[in-house]
Amino acid sequence: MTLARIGATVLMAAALLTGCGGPNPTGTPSPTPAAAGGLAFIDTILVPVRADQAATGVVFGIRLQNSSSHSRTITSVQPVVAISGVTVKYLGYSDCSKGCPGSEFWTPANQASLKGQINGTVPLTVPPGHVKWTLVFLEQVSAEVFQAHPCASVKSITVRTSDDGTGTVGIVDGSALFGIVTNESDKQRC
Amino acid sequence: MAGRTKRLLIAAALISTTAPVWSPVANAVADTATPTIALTTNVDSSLAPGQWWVTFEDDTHVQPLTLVSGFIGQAGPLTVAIPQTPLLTTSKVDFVVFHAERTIDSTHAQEMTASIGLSPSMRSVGASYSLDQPVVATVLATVTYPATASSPLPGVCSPPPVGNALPGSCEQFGADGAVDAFRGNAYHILGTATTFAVSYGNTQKWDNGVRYNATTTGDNGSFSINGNTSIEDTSTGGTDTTWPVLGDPQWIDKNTGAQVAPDYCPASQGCQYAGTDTIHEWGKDQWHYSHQANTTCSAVISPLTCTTTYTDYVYDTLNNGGTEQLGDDPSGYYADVAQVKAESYGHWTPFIPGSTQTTTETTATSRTNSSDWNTTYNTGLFSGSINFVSSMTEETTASVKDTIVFRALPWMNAFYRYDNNYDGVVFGHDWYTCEWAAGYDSSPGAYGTPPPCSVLGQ
Repeated sequence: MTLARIGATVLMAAALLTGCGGPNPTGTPSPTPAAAGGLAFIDTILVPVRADQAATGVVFGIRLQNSSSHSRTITSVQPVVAISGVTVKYLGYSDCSKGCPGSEFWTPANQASLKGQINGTVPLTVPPGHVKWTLVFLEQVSAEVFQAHPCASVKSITVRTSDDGTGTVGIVDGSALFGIVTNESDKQRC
Repeated sequence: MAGRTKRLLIAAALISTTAPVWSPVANAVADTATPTIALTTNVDSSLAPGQWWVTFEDDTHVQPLTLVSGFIGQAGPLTVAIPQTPLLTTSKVDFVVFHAERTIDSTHAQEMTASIGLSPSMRSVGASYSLDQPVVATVLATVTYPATASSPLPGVCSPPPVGNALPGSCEQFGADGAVDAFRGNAYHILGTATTFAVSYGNTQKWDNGVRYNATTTGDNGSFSINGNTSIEDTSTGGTDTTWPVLGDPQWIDKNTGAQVAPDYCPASQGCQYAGTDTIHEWGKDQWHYSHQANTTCSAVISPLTCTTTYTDYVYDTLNNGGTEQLGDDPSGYYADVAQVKAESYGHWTPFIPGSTQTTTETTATSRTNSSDWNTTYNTGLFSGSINFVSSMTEETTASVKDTIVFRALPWMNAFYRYDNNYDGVVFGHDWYTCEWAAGYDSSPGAYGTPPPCSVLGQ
């Protein structure tokens, strides 16, 4: 697969938050192809939790890569949430110099640690070839929704860049970026 | 051995600051009042049943001498009577080391040690010495394990169950003991599994062109032919490798070659993977952290006063493909969990047990080859040229996928992963540690009897 094809795959990826695998019929923005060109997340994290933990929330950190030949400056980050009862919030970015968010519960102690780990929100400039920024998100799923959607994974994020407008960023192979799942078997199906 | 030496050095340092000045040989007086030295220790429940012995070490003996030994029947205070021998009264630098050991199986045992440096009064109980000032001592050397002095405490965590032991140690950090952490064997500890895969694709595109121009001298040709062909060939391939975990049955003791029990690797010796693939060397990598307490008590002043010194050890055994490096790294490069929690060191990433992290990194290279031939001819009547151009562009895309599964185990609260090559190198050593879940029930019958923290891996 060529870089161009990978880029096309990224650009065509719908901004989805789904049940296991189903496309989102309503929440897909119209991407401007150049906006996310070269930007992709290289991490996928799925976490099986209990219903009460899903409601408390899980923090996810996923690394962002800029494979293009020039810098990109992200001016807004907007997770797309299509399922009512699921909230996903962008907390900021981290250079991981004081610890790197991976997956952790949204507890007061972890919130205190995250304050020291997050460097900022936007704007975020990603130099070419850069893979050091980790974007941090909080996902919370109500207990009722959690039962109905065993795999509430977020598959791409809408970003706005200073030069090109709005586009979507996903994982290079199209798999889930991050999400809460009910158990181990659900994780395999995401 | 390095840790042992270090421990002794620390003990020696304590002697210099807490023991009275003494002239050991010239002023020694034979003990006539009390024939023994009483050594009292508090035996942790995890060591019962077990056995204990007391050794004596000094500069004149290469090997420690066993003074007394016995069995540990139950937890609680244990008083050991050390016979007074001429050895104790004539040695210059000496230590009494209390050992307690619990047998795991026929090939593995866990041992704790507690050492004290003997002051002159300890060495000759009840005797009077003519030192700088007269000392009359009633000796009771108390070595408390675990120490119960000031914070931070070397705590008793909830280590892994018997038969499923991990090399490493526990630590308890903070005044309230909020952090119980286990420092495990590095590259992979029980509870993590990694699948590593590389795939690549090649795309070749040929642009072949031929142009024929027939011209009369000085004129344009009457016809020309142009054409090209594009050929795209994509091939894929790669490798899929599942890295070994300590749960695999093919781990062997690095030194003896004996097969170790699944999920057990003696941290002081190391294990290696006996599988037939090429990655067995990785199994030698180890990382061990221990938090030790050294307690010495002075009987010079009544009441008895004890000094406890806490020391962190980091044992680091790496195998870089043939040259092993062994040594302590107290600089904090491999930060302990407490430091991680304090945000002192970066590139640590916590994960909820059960998490799966997949990292996909893609690289691409492009190469273009071309050739160009030109032929001209002149028959006198006709002159012309044939030009053949061929170019090939090859693009190679490599996709590297690394999937880590943090297995959910009942006693784990969180995993911590250290990315040793975060700044660019894809394939590097990762280091793991985990945090104990609060309220984990380690009672016998469920997951076995937990050994004390600093016993493991020593």
